[in-house]
Amino acid sequence: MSWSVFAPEIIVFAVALIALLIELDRDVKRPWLGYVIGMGFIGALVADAVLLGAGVTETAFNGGYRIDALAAAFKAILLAASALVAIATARVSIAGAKRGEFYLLLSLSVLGATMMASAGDLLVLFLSLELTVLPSYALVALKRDGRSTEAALKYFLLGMVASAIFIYGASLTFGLTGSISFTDIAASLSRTGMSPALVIGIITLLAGLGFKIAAVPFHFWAPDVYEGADVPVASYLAVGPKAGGFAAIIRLFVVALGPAATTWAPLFAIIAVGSMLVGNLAALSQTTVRRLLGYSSIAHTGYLLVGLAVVSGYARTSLIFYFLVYSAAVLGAFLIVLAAAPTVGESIEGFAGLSKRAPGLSFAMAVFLFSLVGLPPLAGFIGKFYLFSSAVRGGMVWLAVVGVVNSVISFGYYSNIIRQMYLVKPVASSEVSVPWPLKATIYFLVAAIAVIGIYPSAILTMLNL
Amino acid sequence: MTYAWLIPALPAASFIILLFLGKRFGKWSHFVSVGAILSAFAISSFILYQVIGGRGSEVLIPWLSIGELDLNVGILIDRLTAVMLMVVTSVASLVQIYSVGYMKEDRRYHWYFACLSLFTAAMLMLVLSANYVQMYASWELVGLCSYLLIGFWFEKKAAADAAKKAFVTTRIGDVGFLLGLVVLYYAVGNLDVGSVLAARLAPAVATAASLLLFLGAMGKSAQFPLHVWLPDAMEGPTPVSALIHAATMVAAGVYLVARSYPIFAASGVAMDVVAGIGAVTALMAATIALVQRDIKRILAYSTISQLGLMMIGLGVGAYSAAVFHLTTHAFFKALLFLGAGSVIHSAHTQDIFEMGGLAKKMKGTAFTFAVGGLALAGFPGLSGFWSKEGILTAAFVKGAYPVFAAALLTSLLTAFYVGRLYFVVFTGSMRKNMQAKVHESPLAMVAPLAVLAFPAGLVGLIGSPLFGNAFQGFLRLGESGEHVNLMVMGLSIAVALAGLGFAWIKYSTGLLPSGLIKTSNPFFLLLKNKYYLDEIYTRGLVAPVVGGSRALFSFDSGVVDGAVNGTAWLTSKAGDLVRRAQRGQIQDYGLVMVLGIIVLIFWMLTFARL
Repeated sequence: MSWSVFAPEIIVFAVALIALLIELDRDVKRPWLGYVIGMGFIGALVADAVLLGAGVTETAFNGGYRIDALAAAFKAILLAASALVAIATARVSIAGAKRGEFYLLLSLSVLGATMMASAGDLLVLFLSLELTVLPSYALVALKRDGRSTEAALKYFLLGMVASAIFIYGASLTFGLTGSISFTDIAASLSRTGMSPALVIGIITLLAGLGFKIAAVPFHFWAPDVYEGADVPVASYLAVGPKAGGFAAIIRLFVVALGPAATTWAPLFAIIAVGSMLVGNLAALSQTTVRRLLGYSSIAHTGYLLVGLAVVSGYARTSLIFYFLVYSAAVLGAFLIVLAAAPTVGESIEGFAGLSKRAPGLSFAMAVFLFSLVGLPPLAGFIGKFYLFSSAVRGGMVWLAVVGVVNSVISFGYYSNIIRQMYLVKPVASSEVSVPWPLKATIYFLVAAIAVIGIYPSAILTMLNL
Repeated sequence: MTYAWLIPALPAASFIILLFLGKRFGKWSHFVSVGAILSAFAISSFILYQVIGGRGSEVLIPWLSIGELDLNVGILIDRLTAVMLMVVTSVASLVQIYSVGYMKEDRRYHWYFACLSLFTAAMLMLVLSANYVQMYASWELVGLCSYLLIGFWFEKKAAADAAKKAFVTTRIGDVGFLLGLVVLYYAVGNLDVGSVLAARLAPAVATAASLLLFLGAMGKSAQFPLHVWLPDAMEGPTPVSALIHAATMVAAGVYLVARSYPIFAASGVAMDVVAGIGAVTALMAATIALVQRDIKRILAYSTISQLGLMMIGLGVGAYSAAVFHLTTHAFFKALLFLGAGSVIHSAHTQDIFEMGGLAKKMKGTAFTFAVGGLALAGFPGLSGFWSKEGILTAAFVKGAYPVFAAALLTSLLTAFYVGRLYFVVFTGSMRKNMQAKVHESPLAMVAPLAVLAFPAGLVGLIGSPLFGNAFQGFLRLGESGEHVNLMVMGLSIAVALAGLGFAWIKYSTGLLPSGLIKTSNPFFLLLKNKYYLDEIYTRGLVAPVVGGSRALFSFDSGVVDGAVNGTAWLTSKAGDLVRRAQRGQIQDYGLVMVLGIIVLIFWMLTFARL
């Protein structure tokens, strides 16, 4: 084992330390801090891409840590998203907090999420999970006003409940299989088969992780947190912890509990359908953009879980691909809110006539939303296409139908924003001024969504789909 | 030769730049697009040079895999591609330079150049496509751009209508193209151009596929009965007409047939249909051109007629002669359209009988117009003569006498209407109200005319027997070499001179009494009304379709919309219900989480397979 395989984690940790040291010096104005942190994440991303490209597969610390393509793919998405968040927020005022504090907590949470993607046993998984969420509780509270404090408290309390449930499931699983290592659990499971007690173990493990990815019925925190937290924080939370959560779920269920796939696959189907329906239906009647995005992210968790309800490599690759395109679009949408909110507020009605006041931003927002709906030729279409076609291939046509119907429902609320931007007269005419790093990030995401939509093979060949 | 992707990429980049930054470039927009197209022209020239040196290439990269269907995209370079690239880039370059002068006053100047760039990019992509799906996509993009450009002055209702008509009419052909691709896919298993053309198709399959593809070509290349969009397309800016008529849109159809030539050649029926449709189109359009009064419409019908001639060439197996005619026609027709634009720019009318004697004030335009006109008329020695000659000879040698007769008669009529056009517009005496305003056009417009005059007049020589039919030899595909048939050549010279001479007598000398042909003559009316095809389409096709749509619409708005609105209402009610579950009480949230876990556990223990 060479330490170089930990390069991404080491670099992210170094980034966190830099943020910490700079935070000590409280009097300096530092608009450049965002670029430094962003560059750090990009460095980690490059290191990760090298590992992915070289096909490095390694197990470290007695099976507690896995470095492989699955981990590298999720880390890449996570690190890219974090880098974009850091750069986009470089010249944005982060309310009520020192800039360094934000970047410190952000990089610690990113570190946790990258480790979560590589976790190879239950203990490492739990620790990295806590490392991901503890800084995010603080991140949500950063704004230090009533709403953010309330959201942080809810997030924290529910998160603690979820963690407790997870630990309970971990101990059950350990007791029944005699090991915390994923590979040993799998070996023991294929010898002894499933038992009712282990079913309880699986469900409670899933509850702990389902909380991180905001799956129904563990989703309640998401709308409150996405709305209450500062926008830069919310844009990270929509992607970061989810990436770690999905990587961990795939590894835990496919590797450790793989022999019991016929047992848990229907579980994911139920949760997928529940998440799609609850997320989409609740989003229909929202009046603020952020709350709408919160519910829509629950619905997208539902789409993504289709990739687990269908047990096949094709389905899992589709999941990873969809996670990428979802991340790009949802991050973009949050960044639009970040850019527009100071001028137009966050209510959907505030977006009225935005196309007149900020044509570029409106166009970008339309691209993000259409990609979330899944309209060709944008990336979201290809993503949904592969995800639902994996359901059809796996003999679960009904699940694909539910997914498509839900996409239609989602068109109702996404198109409402677009209608406001393009067809409703603006209430004011003041220009929307946006700091350039934020603007550049947004257009980068637009380009990425268009390119992936038109030429998906660029990504798909990397994922071997 | 992988750098060939730059050829469409440069104009495409110009489109994107102008789309987003066009307002900032404003009056300087043309630098972006002209620069892009000139670079593309340079690269195309180099490619032609390499292809002449015997090189070619086919590069394919996987693009998308949908289930069992693997789609590739790529770049195919062979001799046909190299020729087409030269035609498209050179004409497009000159048209864009010309537009700098012609469109100077336009409000949407940058948008015009953006569209022009996209149009050119789409056409270049089409020509370079190594996969039929890629070709189809570019084909549609060409259609879209033609819609945008024909309807460029969309404030004018006629322009908006013409754009719609062009789009809808060509779409009918596109359906055929698409179905043809489906047939080919089932027969061959993939749609890469190379493997499709190399496949040995059963005769029935070849016939079906080629006829369906030809339907697509009929739409784009304005063949009877899908030609009706093209004359109306004159509502667009004149440089656009030049581009559409010479190098891009209408050439696409001929190119499709030429590219897919092995499929057509495998089916005798298909070849006969191509030749037959070509003959009908050529003759029909030439007769209509005789009586039109609008300078651009005369040229439009002439284009249709010449496209028919190219189809005749393809249909009788004169592949290289047809492509040769495409090439020469591109140059002299572009020249004629740009010349017409120059005339309109100065005279502010399109009715040729309101003009007259313009040659005195517009020497450059008149001279270059004469060169283009003579080339079109098949005046011995000029471009059109040599390329038409090849098609006529092939038809004659093959023994397709009806088609040969139609082509010969078309040549006679062509010479006559070209003569009429020139003599009425440029000779005789000038109207009083014209004298003050007529002037020669600015240099940006006349210079491209002068530059175009050389290839328009002389490009035919490289395919003439004087140079050993070099062009045809370069492209030859399963044909025996050219034989000069002196009788055909003699006939062809005779009809060209006869047509021009008669026009001269009729319109320039005044030897014949005017009113020789009564305007109430039924045949004259038939031609003037374009064989009433528009009326037939309106009454026979459009009216029933609109009527049917109305009926469906009332069903739709009553029953279907009712169902949809009902569903939407139900959905939003369900949404309210779900939203109410989220009251903000953290105790509730925790309770639902735990209850959810318990429900899942019970459900799993009861139903799941352990």
